Amino acid sequence: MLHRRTLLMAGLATLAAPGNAHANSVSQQIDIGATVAGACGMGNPDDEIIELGDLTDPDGTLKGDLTSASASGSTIIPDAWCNTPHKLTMEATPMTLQAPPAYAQPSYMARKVTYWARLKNWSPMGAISLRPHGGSDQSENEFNSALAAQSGGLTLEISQLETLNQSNNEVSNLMLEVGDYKGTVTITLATNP
Amino acid sequence: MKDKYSFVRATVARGAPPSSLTLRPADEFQEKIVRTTLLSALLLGASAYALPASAETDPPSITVQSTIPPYCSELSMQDVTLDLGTLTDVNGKLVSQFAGDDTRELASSFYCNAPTKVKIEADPLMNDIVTTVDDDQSFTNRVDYTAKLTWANVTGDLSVSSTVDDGTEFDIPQAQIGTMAIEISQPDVTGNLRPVAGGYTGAVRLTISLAQ
Repeated sequence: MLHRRTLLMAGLATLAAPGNAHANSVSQQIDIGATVAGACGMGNPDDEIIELGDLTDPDGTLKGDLTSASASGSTIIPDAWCNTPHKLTMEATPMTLQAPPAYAQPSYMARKVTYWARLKNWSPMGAISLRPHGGSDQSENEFNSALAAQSGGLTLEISQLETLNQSNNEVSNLMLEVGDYKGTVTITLATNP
Repeated sequence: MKDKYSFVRATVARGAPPSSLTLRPADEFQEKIVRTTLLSALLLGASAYALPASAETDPPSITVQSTIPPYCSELSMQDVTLDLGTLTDVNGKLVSQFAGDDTRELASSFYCNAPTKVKIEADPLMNDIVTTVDDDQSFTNRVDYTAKLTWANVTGDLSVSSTVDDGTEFDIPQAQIGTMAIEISQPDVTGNLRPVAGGYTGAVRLTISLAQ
């Protein structure tokens, strides 16, 4: 009987003793991770062509309202964003006569028109502006954080037109040669790691 | 648990049983001693180990008592990490469900033999580098989610959102044994903001304690 009691007591001690397999409280931490890839995006412009209409007054020079500082035309590029440091590049070409005549450009005539291209509501520091004269005008802007278009949307405004001479210098009151004029503004958002 | 046993037993002196004894004259004295011893033993047995039905006093008893303490098995997993994958779609918006590994079995047979309390704390996914978002009208560095625990036959919803500070404690009213797993789901950001780029880290802390 003594032997049996001893066994019983030993059994109880085993059950009561703390061991690796038993605990009053257990805990576990599960670490979770995820990633967001750096990216930028832009929607399609509300108007892909900013139509300025007839550029000239009856005297053949630029209309006075087109040379003013107020915007002559604009479009909104919706849902523009970059979720990481990035670079915004704006390239522009002067409005150029699309079908120039075969003869040499007279000094008193213009076949190109420059303008201010102003991109608003992106940079916290103000509009990004570019006034093209040649063929490779661009404005490159680096931003070190995520940005999206502010209220009103990313807006491109065209203003303050001026005629260019053969050397692509601004000269007022040049007469514009007849025809269609077309310029291009290209806005690029790209991650800039 | 409590059990009681009564043992009644008569012990005979060691050696061959009395019926097998061979008595010789020279051994009469010894025979007498043996008989006396046997008689004494029987008397002693009768007085000390009498059956309850014929005894006038309580029989001696030995109480065998055993207690099963409440306890839980241990979670022995180390460095459990879930990679939820990419959080955003092509538009930079938060995905509607995690693309990566969002479920993990913590134990195939975790048990507690008594009622328990299960506390789940969920820390949101935070960007590892961007601690302050400059354009906080458009972007966020925080992604919330729901952590759901499943355990054996527990029928209640053991879910906690990472928006809940300090987590939530659940009462499990009875012992459980079975598979325990954690699932991360329902990614969410305030105001449908875009998460800024980078790595995100969060954690779920699970504590199971005996209720008593």
